Amino acid sequence: MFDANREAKTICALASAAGTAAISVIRLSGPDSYKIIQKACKSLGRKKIESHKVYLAKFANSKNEIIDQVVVTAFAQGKSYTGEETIEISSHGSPHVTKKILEALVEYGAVTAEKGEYTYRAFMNDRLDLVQAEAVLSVIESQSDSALKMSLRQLEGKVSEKFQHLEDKLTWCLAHIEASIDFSTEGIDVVDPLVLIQKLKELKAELEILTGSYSQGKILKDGIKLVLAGLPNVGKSSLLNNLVLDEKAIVTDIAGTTRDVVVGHTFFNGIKFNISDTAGLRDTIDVVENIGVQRSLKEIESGDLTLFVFDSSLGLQQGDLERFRMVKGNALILANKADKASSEAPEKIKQKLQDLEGGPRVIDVVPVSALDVTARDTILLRVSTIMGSEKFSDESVISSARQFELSNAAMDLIDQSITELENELGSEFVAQTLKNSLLALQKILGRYFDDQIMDRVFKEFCLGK
Amino acid sequence: MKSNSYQVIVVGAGHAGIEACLVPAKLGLKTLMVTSNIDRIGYMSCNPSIGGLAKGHMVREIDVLGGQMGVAADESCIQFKRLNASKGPAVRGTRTQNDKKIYSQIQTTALYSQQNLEVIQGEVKHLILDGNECRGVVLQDGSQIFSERVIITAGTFLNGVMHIGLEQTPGGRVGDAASVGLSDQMREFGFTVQRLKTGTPARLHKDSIDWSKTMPQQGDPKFYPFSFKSKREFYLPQVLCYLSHTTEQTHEIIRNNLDKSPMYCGIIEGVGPRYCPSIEDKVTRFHEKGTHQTFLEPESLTSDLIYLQGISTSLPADVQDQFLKTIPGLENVKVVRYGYAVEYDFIEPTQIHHRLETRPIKNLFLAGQINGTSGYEEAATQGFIAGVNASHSLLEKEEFILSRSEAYSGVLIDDLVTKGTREPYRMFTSRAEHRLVLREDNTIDRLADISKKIGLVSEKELNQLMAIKDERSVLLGQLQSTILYPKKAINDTIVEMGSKPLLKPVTMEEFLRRTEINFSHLEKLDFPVNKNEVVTEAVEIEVKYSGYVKKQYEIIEQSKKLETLEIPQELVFSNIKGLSNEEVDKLNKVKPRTLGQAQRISGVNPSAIQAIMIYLKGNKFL
Repeated sequence: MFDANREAKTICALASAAGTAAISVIRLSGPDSYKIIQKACKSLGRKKIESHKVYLAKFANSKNEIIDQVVVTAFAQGKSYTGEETIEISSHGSPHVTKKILEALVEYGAVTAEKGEYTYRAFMNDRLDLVQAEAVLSVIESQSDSALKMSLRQLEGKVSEKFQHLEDKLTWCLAHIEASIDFSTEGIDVVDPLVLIQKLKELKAELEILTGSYSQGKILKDGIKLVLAGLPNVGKSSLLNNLVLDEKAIVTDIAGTTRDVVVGHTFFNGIKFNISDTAGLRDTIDVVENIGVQRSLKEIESGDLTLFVFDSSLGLQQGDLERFRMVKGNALILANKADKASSEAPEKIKQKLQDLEGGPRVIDVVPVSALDVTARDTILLRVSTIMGSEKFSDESVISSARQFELSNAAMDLIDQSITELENELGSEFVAQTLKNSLLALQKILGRYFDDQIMDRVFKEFCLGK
Repeated sequence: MKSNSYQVIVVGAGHAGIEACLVPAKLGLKTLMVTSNIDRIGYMSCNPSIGGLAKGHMVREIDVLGGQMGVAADESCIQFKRLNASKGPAVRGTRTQNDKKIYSQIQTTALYSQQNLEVIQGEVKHLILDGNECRGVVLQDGSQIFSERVIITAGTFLNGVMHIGLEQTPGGRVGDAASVGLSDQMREFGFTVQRLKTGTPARLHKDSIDWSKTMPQQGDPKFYPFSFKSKREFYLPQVLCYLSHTTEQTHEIIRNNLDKSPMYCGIIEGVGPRYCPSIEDKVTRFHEKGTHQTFLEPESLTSDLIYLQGISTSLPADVQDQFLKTIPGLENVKVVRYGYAVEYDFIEPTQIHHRLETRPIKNLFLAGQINGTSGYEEAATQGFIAGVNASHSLLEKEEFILSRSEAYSGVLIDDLVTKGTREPYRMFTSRAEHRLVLREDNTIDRLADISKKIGLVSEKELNQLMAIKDERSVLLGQLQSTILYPKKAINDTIVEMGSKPLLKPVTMEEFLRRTEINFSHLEKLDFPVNKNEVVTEAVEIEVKYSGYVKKQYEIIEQSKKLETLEIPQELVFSNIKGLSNEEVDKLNKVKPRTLGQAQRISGVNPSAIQAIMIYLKGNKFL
């Protein structure tokens, strides 16, 4: 990721948001942090800087021109976020001032930090494991209370603990297998393969819960993606405006008004909903509109759930059915304009759509009116139930695709090892499979194993030559 | 050349020393072995057995390369076992119980009949040093013997102290004096010298044992000798071993007498092996275990001594008498020799090169327990490698280093020189990350070509090795090119074998991969099966586990990149930015040859490896 030669360098960057503000914070991290700040703030040059102390000082550049009066906070090596000697400079929040301070720091020997380098250093200095490092980003990016809560749990190490626990359990299994291989003649109590299989099944079940939590984590982190689809002029844009509480889409009575994909978002019960309004799906000779239709289809494919809209005052038309067939995945059917006329019963509509060849799985049919203010609650509540976000637990969840993929790999390998044990394959092959699984778990936390299996063996068993 | 001058001197006549002196002598170099007791050449100081898990692998490896241990073990075998027979093929290990006397006789004869080799009795007090070069040795009587290379295989003799209870006697083994002076000289020269401890159990008189209270343990009826040169039938009559166990009473006596154990009252400072704890250790550390097993093993066909495996102790003689009598079968036991512990000096092995030459002193090689290992097989392997390298350096041939993916010998030495050791180091299969390809059955395939290069095996033996290797590859080729069609007659035969009928044509290789199918089945399908088990066994294993084996070879290929990136010896690690002081210290201590080795040093982080790589590239080393 970063050039290892950089590690000896002291890095600097603006830590607060760019732009005008009351205060801006600039961070220095690395072995020369104290030395550099003592050069810039002459009054600090005369005293010994203490960790976790705050100093008021005048900051000057190398030409001895005072740039600003600043507040300097010091963190000694081993006591900072990065684990390195760190200085935080709080200056007045003018972009001009912060620019000049950063230029001066470079003159004094610092280098400009690369994106993520502070967290990278914290990881390299064992202040954080990889799961926590990823959580830092997700705390910064969290947009809702629930997303923040989740990210903070990860940062605290709750998810790391779970992986750690799984790693311990897997190491236990491996230690027993290794002991049964290398000490088979020494009268140790070798674990019964059935017990081992039981343990591995438990392990797999625990991993399943973690990988299962990814759907929740992903929703908390990225939100739920809904795609409005249906014939032109059935009221998709009005529904979007209602859902996002805004005039996002231009609403007219002319069919085909929405030519491109319009995206809006809204928060409901702490969950973010990203909603796309797609061009009415219809074959068209209008070139621009045709591009819009292609985009709609792509958009529908990438969504978590399609909201398929039709005009219930007209009933399901042949055109609606044709469009419906173009959709894939899961769909919630919105019978719009329900206020205008009593249409067919939702069950009947559901039946009709399900009887069609092709098309998405119909989850439910909900009568709504895009113009009614209660429509938003009705739809989003229903979606929350479908996506499970209504009953999200407070348990630790994972929200990183990397962690999800590695957990899945670890789980598959554990599954493979269970089959191998059941087929009575040689222990050394089972051990190899489990080692690969352990490696996947250790990659999640950013660690690799060395002699821990043998240490475990010696701790657990009474061995004699 | 002066009359008292040699090309190679080997100090010590144990398992390392024997291999170390035979190699140069066979390669035509004038060699001298100096031993402090000429009657104890190839003596088994502890257990009367050779091989075992991972250790059997090493014996086979040096045998193919031209070593001696396998032949002596085969010819003195009085009980044979293939351990882990029920487990997978990579972790099966050959072990023999041996007649100690015959083993020692075979080794003595091997040395005496070897051309270019002289054996003398004497105690080496010092090395003759010229600056940082070793030029020979000085004996106790002050006489100097010159040589171009010196290999020290001193076992537990360097400043050895034996403990029985609170009594201490200088010595490396019962009946043999310690070797004082050599390790002190090395310490003065700047070597880090530390203490280790090992122990041995009591030897019992066989007539004093009530065998009816023990469980007889039979060996395997079929003999798979260590050496490719040996006959495939037993050389000696086979005997039984016996199993008994400690009782709560045994443990109580031991617990009540811990204050008389030198280990427990702080007299012994050396670190003992975790995998081979004394009975005091077992009782204390695993107090929840009510009983520990012990094997009663005969030491020889012609002696009355029984070795009590698993009960090593340094408690006083009267306490040993007391607790031994609580073991079923030993109620009236007569102890011939009491168990004891030995403390001895070893040279921290990160101070030696992979070729086993020390870094501080040139021309000086170390092998065996002096490098912190335990076990006859670990010692013999190092003795052999040291012998080859001492000879190669004189013959101006390349240094001889096996990689971790080629042999257990490679794992052993790389572990020692890279990680060092804090306890007596014993080989385990789990230490080999490429375990699946380092099998006993494929030793010849792995090492025959290398053996040819070293040139220790005779032409006839080499042809024997090559023939086996070739037959195996021919057989594999036949399996791959013979196709089995789903015809009715064929499928009927297959169903008769208890296997599922074919749905499409498959190669014999694919068919053999079926769990329930083995070589004997192929004969019924008109496949001309090679009758030589040495050939078929290895091929069958290679075929059956090819998925796993192939994956392991892929991993080896991937890791080769770092293993081949050499670090120049003149590199100054402190010049590289991005390395912590701790990392620089560790790198300076170990002086890794390659980036792969550097990566295995504990405490050297992946970022450091990256930094070294960048530095090497930037400075045109790569």
